[in-house]
Amino acid sequence: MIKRRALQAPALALRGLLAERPWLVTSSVSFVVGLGLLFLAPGMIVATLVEWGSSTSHNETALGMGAAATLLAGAGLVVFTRLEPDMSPATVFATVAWTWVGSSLFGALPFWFSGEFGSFDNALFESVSGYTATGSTILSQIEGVGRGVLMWRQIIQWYGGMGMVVLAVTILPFLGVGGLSLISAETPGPMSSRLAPQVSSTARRLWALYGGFTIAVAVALKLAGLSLYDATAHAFTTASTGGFSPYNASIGHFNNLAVEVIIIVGMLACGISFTLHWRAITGSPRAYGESSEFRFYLLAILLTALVAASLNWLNDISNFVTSLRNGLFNAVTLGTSTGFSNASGSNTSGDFAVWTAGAQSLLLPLMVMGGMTGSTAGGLKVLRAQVMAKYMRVGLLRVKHPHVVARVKLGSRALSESVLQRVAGLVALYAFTAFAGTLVLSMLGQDLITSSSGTISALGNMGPALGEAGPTSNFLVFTRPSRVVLMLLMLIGRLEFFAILLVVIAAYERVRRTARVKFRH
Amino acid sequence: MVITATSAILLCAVVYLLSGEVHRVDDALFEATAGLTTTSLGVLNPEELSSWLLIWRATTQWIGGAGTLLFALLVVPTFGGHRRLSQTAKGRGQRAMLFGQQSRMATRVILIYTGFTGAVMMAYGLAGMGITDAVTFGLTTSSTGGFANYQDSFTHFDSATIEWIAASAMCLAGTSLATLMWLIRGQVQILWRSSEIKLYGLLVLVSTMLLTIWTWQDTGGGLQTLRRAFFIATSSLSTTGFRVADWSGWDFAPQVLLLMLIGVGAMAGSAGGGFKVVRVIEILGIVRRELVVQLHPQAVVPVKVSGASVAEDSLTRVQNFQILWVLAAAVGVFGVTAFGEDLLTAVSGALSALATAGPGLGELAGFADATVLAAPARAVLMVLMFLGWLAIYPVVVVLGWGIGELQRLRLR
Repeated sequence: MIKRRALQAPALALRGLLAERPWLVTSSVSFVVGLGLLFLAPGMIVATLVEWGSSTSHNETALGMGAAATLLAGAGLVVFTRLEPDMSPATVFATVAWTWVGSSLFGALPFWFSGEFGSFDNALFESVSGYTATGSTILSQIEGVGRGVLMWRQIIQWYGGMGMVVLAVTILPFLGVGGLSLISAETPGPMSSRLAPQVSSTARRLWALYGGFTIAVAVALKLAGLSLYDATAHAFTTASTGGFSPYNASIGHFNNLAVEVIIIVGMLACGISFTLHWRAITGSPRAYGESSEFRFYLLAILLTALVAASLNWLNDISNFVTSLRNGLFNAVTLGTSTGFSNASGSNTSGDFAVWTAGAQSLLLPLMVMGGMTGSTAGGLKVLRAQVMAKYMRVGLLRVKHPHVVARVKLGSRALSESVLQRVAGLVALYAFTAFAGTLVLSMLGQDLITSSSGTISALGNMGPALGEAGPTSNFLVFTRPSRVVLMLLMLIGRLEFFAILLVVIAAYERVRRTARVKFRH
Repeated sequence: MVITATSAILLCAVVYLLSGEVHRVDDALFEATAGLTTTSLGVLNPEELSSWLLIWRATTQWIGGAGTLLFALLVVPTFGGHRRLSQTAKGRGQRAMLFGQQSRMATRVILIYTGFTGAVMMAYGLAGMGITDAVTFGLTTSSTGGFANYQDSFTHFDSATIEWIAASAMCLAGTSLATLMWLIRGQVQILWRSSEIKLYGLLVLVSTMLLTIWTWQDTGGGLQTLRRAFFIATSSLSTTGFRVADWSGWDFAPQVLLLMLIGVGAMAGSAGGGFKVVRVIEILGIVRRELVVQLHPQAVVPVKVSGASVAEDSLTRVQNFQILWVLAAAVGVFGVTAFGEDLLTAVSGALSALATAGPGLGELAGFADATVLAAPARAVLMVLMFLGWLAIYPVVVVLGWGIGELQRLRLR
């Protein structure tokens, strides 16, 4: 009897996998995925037009076909499914996870069709790296690809910077309570606060700010003397703190101090919480000074820049002014998880791979920390680092005075024990994933420094890593299977672990439950 | 306690200097620190030392191991419960009672530790080591210290029996002393209740297996590969640090795995260092809870070790420890690189020093000792070893107390 049941178990599990929607692809989920795809189509059409206008390459068909496929799939999903107002936590996470997976798949189509990226997994890597605003590329000769496809690469990052789900929520005022949890599931950070009583207007304001920053950076770059194409392309990836550039040498291509300053300011601004921006714009600019997270963020970046610059200067890597310039640029680009490089032929020390080891080791903590909560930047987030630091201090205080009543305070607000636990839990999850990623990458053939920094870079949506995958290198140094792992890490990092991991766990739970129920009957 | 530890190190350093065989103060200090913290990263060439100094060198490691055990017993009780810093007993009467119990415990622990050391020495002697070697290696094996009398560590003997004995002894030394107690009493079934020993055993098994597969080509295949894999896995996990092969020439995967084993470290209640297996279990429990709570927001999910839920403030302490540990490692890496070492040496060296193991990668690879590093970088490693030995907390508390006192002075 028992034996027969044991034999039946795998078959039952398989049936459960197919029948009970264990991957949580419900009607609502498909609807939001479809909506996300519909939003992508205009971007593809813009890219097609850019390609059409350029004389050097002819990939209009690839881009056009991609746009058509995305439009069709999106429309199909929206028409044939409907949105149910009820949003359980599992559905929320599934919605976000599947929207991102769907967008990445369809975003890869133009790359694949164009034939410039080789196999589909390479195209997908570029697409995932784009949507997650990571900025790692598998292209070794970026300029040869053609303007339209490159523009699509930039636009992808722009979409991903704020997120397709937030975009979908802007036009879904009827989503109700589920909407806010959707936004917070997609927006990085432990606590996302609403900007307006209505969720959809919160989402709209986020996008308005985002668009505003993009336009501001584009205009500034245009005034600094860049062509319209270059200015928009870099504005997209600066605002999203993504870091793709249509040039091999990234920002170093221009070798222009004014451009670097504009980009630095743009990255810094977009690494700041958008809620804070909104408060400062609608209220008074003093809001910045009052935010302890903001002070911590600026201090960490500036301090790293200064110490790294002095170390480089003392070790004769470059003269003082150049060290300072490169230190600042790289600290900002890594601290906001952007990943631009300002190295050029006349400024070789802009590449942090040639820095002295002490300065390089300073960049790693900055890469782990990342930008502010509610910004477009990745990483663990400044707020979490801050909370953990304070948590630790209280912990030490308790060791000294066991009966002390100490609270972790953020501003004037005392944090509850459960919030602390969750921040700490996420940090533990991060550490665990980082170790697992390092081990897996090393198994697939990378050395310790490359695999550990590659994992941190992918988890924090940074772009460049240390070791073999430096800022002037590309991710072809990773073997093909390790690139798949990196893709997964990028998605996990961008959606802050839960969306991706929970879909897998929920699937497992459901399969197990189905199997168990079938056993009983 | 920090003061006791510091003065012990100073004392040991003075002995080195008085012996007349060590001439530099910083060398003596480094060797004393490495000894007491049970790290196998010295600066002295053991083949140039007289045999009594070798025994002294091994004895410092044995004392250091005993220190870790007593520290675990008196300040971080892990036998049974998971009380960490047991400074809750502040009342005078209570304290006296606790000490009464604990001193009896302490005697018993030292007895078992000594017995274990004696057994290892005997085994070594029977396997054909000389008397000095058997004594010193016995002392450094049971304390998870790892100082060897030869620059080529265990390859010097070129004996399969000795390697098997050493690996098994390291494996045991990395478990909690309570394990040994139960083993002696013959109550093996109790061991199966402990999730810590299960994970420890699993780690040893899996990493031995993986290393065997990965290094089949490198170490000649057959039983030799299995033996070496077992040896290196236990040497890393128990943070002993005996060397039997230069693993820097292997594939990257075994290197990273070994570094991670060093980071995980031995079981709580052993003489070994590292992050400690029980803390890894607790962290994994926290991670699991975090995932479940996301799906079922109302659920109350306990974090369990050996079937019993862990108290919340204990979990808080584990999390704090995790941050302190990573922070110490990061600052250590920066310190080592700032004094001119490359990133690989720094990362592996800092981790290895903090876990009180010894072997590393880069310049510290293979049978290298700390002389390859610049003096200031060695000083950084010394601090890390010290932090790792005392499990960070006491040092930070003393530092905080010192800063507080200074502030008070300035206010006056």
